[in-house]
Amino acid sequence: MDQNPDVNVVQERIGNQDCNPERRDRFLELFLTHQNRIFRYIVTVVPRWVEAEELFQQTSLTLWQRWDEYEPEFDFTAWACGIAKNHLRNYLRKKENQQRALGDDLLEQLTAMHVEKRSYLDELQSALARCLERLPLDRRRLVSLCYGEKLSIQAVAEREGRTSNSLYKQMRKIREALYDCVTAAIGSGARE
Amino acid sequence: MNELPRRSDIPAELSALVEGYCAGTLTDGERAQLESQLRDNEKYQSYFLAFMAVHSGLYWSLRDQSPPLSERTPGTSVAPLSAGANDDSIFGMPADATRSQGHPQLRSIWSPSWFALGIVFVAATLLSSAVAFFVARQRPDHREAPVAAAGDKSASEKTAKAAQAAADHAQPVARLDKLESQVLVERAGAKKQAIAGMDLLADDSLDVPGGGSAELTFVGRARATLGPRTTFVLGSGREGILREGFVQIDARGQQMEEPLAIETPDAQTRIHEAWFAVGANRKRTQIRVAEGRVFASRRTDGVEVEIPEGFCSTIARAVDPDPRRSGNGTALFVVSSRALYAHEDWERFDQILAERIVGDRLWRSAMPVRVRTYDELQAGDLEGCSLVVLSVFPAKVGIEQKLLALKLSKLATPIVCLEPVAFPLLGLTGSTREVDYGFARGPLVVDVATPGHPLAAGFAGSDLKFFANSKSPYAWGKPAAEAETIVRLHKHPDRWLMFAYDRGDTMVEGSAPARRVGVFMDPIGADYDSPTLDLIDASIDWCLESVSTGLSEEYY
Repeated sequence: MDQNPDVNVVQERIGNQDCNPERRDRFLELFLTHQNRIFRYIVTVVPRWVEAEELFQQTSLTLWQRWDEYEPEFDFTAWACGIAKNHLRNYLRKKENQQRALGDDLLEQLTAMHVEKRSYLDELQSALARCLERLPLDRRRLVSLCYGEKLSIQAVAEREGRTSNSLYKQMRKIREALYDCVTAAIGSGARE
Repeated sequence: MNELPRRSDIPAELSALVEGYCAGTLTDGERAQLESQLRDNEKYQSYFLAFMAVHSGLYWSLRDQSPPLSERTPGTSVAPLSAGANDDSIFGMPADATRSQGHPQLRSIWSPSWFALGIVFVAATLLSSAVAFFVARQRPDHREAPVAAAGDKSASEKTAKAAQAAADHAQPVARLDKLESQVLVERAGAKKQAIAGMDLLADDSLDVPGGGSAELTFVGRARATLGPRTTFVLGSGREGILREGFVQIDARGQQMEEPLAIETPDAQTRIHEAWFAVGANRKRTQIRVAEGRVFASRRTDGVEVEIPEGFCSTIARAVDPDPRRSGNGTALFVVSSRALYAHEDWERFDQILAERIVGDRLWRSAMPVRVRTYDELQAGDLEGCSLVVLSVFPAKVGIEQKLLALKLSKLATPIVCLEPVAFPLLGLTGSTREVDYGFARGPLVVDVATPGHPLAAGFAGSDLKFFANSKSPYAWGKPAAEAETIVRLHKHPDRWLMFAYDRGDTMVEGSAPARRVGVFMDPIGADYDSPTLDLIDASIDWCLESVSTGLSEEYY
């Protein structure tokens, strides 16, 4: 586990505090196993990467700070998403973010469903890698620019000699195509 | 049980709102609409969560992204061997590797360490292929040794094979089963007219004229169909050289110890069992595979590529050979009859030549072509074709009414339209001539608005001079806002010489049932290698990319 690059990132967040190594390792084990779900939940509410990443980091730190409150019989995903939800609420309550906010009641419903359906969503994301590899090279390149290099659509459009409008359209089609592919992959796997 | 809803089960409006939410483009009103649709609706919430899981999954899997593989404009420079991008052994994680929930090893195939390893492997492969290629090419005449895949024969085996080939020289290597038009066969320097049923020997060269075709059966039962304006040289029985033109090979169900090999000026191919087509001209070789798979190597540098079923590859100098999805089937090319050319209001000389060249480009895109004149075109001709190319025609002689009656605007087959009079009939533009579509004359100077688009064929920049003068007109159109606008007339921002709609895009009238491209045909027409014809090649490729050949095609 110490060779996992994410361990160093989390430790950096935790700050190498003076703490029980066993306690720290147990936290890291659970956190690293479930971090993808936490990130996924945050992105559902805040789709922009910059804000989502910042909220994810804040959540990670809070999870560590409140680790003493966690009981082994707790569902870690539910517990962690609950803490993430608080950070999301605080973020959405800020005036400048209100226009992007989902209502509180909808947020509650989505949070509950996200926890309930986490296995299916995990499976979906596992299928995503296979579907990504089936994308034509030029589309993988666009995905790489938008999601890997985190460039804005406008920046990618300028770089690629395209209009923003046409790039929005193409990214929409790519996302839709990937969705269709992963749901079909899960469906055919279920039939097996 | 799969509890995630299919997108087809979701109202299009919701689907669009979710995508807009993802992209960050929703207005306040649209966000309120989205909330209202999601609230208390478990199915829609499930869809929303799943779609956002794709969005977050892309961020998560690419969060350690390296710089992209290539910075080039597609089609204008050599790319790394991107076939390796599909090769799990080069790029690390097998596609079916089990990943634990949220495991941080869900890495992109572009992770730096794997990318570096891939480059080393590719370099080694290229070096060994180049060495073997130069050794193999010492022979001046293919009779002395068969066309060899790089590096797979020892010297002694080659000598034995050459001796065997000489002994077999007088034996037939194929039979000419069927032919149309006056096909010539050249044997030992002498040309004579070929006849159906004749045996063909090694080194026989077949010349198929315009409008002609030939069908042959090789020893070993593979069958070949040659298209018009094709020159094909037979090898020792499992080989052939396509100097230019079109050949479709059916080697399905063959159990050959040695692969069938087809050479072109740009490529060498090896096939065991496949059904595929090859088109070759002076600039490139196109290989389109309908069944099976074809292995091809580029003659200039030995770069190899494996082309699977439902894909096509372009083999040419400085062009990425990476296979891309492509439909197969037949292209329908609709042309004007000679009687129409005589119409006094239709001053388009050289259109006959230009049409012939466009037709040739279609064949050399490895697409069999069915040609119909507008006079003879019927609804049945539209069935079963993968692409329709509408050539030019004079206005007001009844063709507009015919196209309307055929309901081409609703045809769920990609169309490349070279005639601006047909633009409004297909819903591509409005219907006012010289406002929504029209004809330009004189020097062709263009601006390329979207140089990165595949349709731009690698062209880029403004004030590009394609030809100095033309007495004949060339087409332009003014498409709807959702169109891809590629090339426009210099200093005329609304006059687009090339534009396109993807399937589902909103056109001026209706939505596009399949891809549509409006593009001008070079009226000069006499220059076979005119770069403007590259735009037509790009139109054909882009349209065929969208043609479904299997389950996965539904998505892409």
